[in-house]
Amino acid sequence: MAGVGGQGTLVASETLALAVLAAGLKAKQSEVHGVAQRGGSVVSHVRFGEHVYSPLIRCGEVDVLYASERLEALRYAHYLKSGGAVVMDNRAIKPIQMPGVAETPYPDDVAAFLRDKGYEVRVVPAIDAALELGDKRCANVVLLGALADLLPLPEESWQVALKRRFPEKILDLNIRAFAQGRRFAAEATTG
Amino acid sequence: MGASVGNAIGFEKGNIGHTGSKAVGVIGDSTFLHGGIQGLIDMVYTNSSATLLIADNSTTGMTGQQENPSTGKTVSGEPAPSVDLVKLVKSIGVKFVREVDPYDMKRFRKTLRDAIKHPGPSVVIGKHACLMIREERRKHADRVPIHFEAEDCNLCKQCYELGCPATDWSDETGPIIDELQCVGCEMCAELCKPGALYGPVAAE
Repeated sequence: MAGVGGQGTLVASETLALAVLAAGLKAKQSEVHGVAQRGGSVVSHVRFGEHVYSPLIRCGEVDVLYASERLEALRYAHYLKSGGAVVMDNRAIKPIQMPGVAETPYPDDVAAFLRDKGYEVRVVPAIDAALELGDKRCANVVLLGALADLLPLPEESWQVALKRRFPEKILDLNIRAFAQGRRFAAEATTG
Repeated sequence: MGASVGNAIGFEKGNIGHTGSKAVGVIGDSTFLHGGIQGLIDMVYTNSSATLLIADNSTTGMTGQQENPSTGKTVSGEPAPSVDLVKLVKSIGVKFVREVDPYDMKRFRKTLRDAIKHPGPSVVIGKHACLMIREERRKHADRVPIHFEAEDCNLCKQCYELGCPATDWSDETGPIIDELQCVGCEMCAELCKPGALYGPVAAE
């Protein structure tokens, strides 16, 4: 699960791990966050199943890549297995560049590029949905709802996870965000 | 987390008789207390002409905004004694010590230039609470993203060179403000001579 610092990627990752536990399975979750405050790259590995030994996934073995930002989707795509799935928001958060130094252009059509590589790419308008719901910060959970469509976890375990992870005053927002994400996934597969 | 202080001394000593350029080390309030004090003692002891900039934002930003011994709170938010950084630095023996609000950009830049010019060790403490910590966000809850009037922009790039994460640049139209990231601090507006960038007060 990848994103830019501040997008709530790690909160989404924790929620997934909690949903796994609620479903009675084992989970191991690891994260890299130290240098990511406000603008750096954030990545978390989640592995779950009947038995989980290592928390880290090797390159070429990721089943699904969750990416809340366009460049981060590209950055971690090489972790995917052949034909793996990407659930991403196409939002671009441009890294701070050093003024006066030749700038690296920000990549354009990442989704198409990844589809050409044979990955199944689902683009979710997560930040737009979050703004419609009234809070940009729940974009991570909208994307999580879309991710849930690809995972074998029952809806109840997701609801348990959301309740455990979010305090009362923002629980309703996040339940709605999650539901919206699920709706996007349903529309994408039937549309 | 402490390395920058020693590095600054090393660069300064290594440059003697070569480029003659000045050395500046940058460190946060938290990491200075964590591992920067030893290096600063060495800076005074070896009479290094390096400058240390302590970015005091009253938090440990990198790892998620935890409290530290300079913030006046424990990790769980209870009141705690706080280290007086100015007194600490002076007691180590640094003669040139200044504490300035970095949001007062003119004064801050001048202080930094004076510190760099100073022949012995110098410390500038840039003190302003991080805009992302809860109390600051509450205080500034009414702030809105900055306005940009493209036709007034002279493409001087001063706003972009501020290094704000919310500001991107187009050579044709000037700054591109990401409204989702802009916290409305108006520092770019302050730098904008033609007034193309402005906050709500100026807009009125």
